[in-house]
Amino acid sequence: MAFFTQKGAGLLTVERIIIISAWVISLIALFVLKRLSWREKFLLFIAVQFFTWSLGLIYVEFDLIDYPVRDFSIATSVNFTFHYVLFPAIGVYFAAFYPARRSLIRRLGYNLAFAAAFVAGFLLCEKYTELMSFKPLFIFILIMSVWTSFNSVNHYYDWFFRKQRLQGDAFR
Amino acid sequence: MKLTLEQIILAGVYVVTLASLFWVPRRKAREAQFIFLCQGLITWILGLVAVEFGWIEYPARELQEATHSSFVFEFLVFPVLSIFFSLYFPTGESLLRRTLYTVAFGGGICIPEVILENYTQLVKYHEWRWYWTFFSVMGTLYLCRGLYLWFFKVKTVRSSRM
Repeated sequence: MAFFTQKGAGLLTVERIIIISAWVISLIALFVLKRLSWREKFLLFIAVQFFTWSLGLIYVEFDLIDYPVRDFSIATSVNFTFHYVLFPAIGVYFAAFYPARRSLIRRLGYNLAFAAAFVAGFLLCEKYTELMSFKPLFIFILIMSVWTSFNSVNHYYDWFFRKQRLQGDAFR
Repeated sequence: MKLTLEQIILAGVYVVTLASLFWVPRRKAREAQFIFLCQGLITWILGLVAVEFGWIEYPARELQEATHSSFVFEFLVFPVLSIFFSLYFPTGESLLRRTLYTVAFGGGICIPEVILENYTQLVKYHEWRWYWTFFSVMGTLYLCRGLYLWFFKVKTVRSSRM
């Protein structure tokens, strides 16, 4: 893999530090999360991955976003680390701390906070690193994808484990 | 627009694979979905590694820019095959039966792939050999079945004939 063997330009660039810490932080975060069982965490993780691989590949194929510096530089044009561990790990946390029994305002705010965090992270990466480059329009797509995929996974988790956490929550 | 042989094969593979989902029993929906997603977790990284090191190449593929690995194989055909592998696995039968069952799946992927390698641009081997496919398919199917057994707390009856 060119990522680990490339000579010159210093071994630890900002991009590499971010990619490596994404692995470390995501795995530790999954490990220390005690609110859910390992089965629940695993299911949520692979359920979010369903959205990250499909959407990630589509956005890159249609040139909506580029990842100039990435881990599998030949095999794929998406940033593997982000789509494989980082975003799924964030999705697991989304479902784990979702305020299902709280007011609509609280739940909207919770959703908004996650979308805002994604936008902030993407903008920082775009401005200060070579990890991503995209047009302003992509921010809108990003918010929609985070919103729909995390909430779909949240409902899927409810259905899968026959919980009734989210029953009728739209109009409460 | 004239369709190439590769495009026709790809379209056919999509149709057949999606249609085969009708044979998954409805009461096993959770199990099937779990296996499907779980196999994606495994093939995603292994498929990328094989392509990154240049062992194998997929010149004709559907997503030309996004990935150099085969989208349909990694995220559809193989996960769906894995559903059938795990759900119909002959648990509790003799070791011979279980081995034959597994080998049939390995061969079922390997033989068509060798034919496609020889006659189409869908897949090209570099360092890759047919037995790499054969053993990696059987290994990953078993790995996924192991996760399935753990997840659903399935008790396998240890056969005395082992």
